[in-house]
Amino acid sequence: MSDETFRTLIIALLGTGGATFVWTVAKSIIAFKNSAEGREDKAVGRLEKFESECRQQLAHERKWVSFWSRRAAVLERVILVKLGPEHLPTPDPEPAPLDMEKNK
Amino acid sequence: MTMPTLEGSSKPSMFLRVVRSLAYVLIAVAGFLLLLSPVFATGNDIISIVMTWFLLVGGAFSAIGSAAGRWAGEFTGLPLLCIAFAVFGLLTFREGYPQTPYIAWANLSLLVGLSLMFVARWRYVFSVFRVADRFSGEGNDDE
Repeated sequence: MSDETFRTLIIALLGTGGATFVWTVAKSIIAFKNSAEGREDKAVGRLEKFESECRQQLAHERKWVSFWSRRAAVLERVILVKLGPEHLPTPDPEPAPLDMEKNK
Repeated sequence: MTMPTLEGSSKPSMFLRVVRSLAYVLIAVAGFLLLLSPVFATGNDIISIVMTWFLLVGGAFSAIGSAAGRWAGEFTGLPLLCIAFAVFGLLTFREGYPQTPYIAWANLSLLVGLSLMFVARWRYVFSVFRVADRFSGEGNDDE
């Protein structure tokens, strides 16, 4: 066998190995993406994203509710003042101090 | 994605996994040492360097896959090892034949034999891959 033929044979072998390696890596990645584990990862990722979106929405709603509840309380007070001082709610009487002697 | 268990046993053989991983690690170490050797690096051309990289990468992939019990490691690493052993056999044969033809033939037979054993092992892993690939499409409601 001449040197040239030998070299060609070796290069062909190495090329075949390299091409097979690339093919197997691609197949493995595709198989993993389609596998149950891959799908599980994807599902967990989607759930985490959904949770984050829900938390953002909740924070937004809380801010919104807080603003309008304060505004509603102020408006209620204004209306009651306009109606007359008798419509204003009377504050609760302060509770009497506990008689410790009696409780003994 | 995991490798199937041995027939009749309830859990994968730890012994087989450890021994196989150790063998692949030693092959990867051999590739690494060949790369470090200045004689090998300067005395051989690019073919030898590529072959040693095949040993290193193939051994590392196979060792990781075997240790983790995943078919993907050996599926990707074994083709490189098959080729590396065959090329190594041919190179040593070419080098040693003029001085010691019988030893050269023995080395060639040994290394090509080992290469064919890796081919057989790869064929087994390929059948595992085909099963995994077939079942991976079922129950996928994304597509």
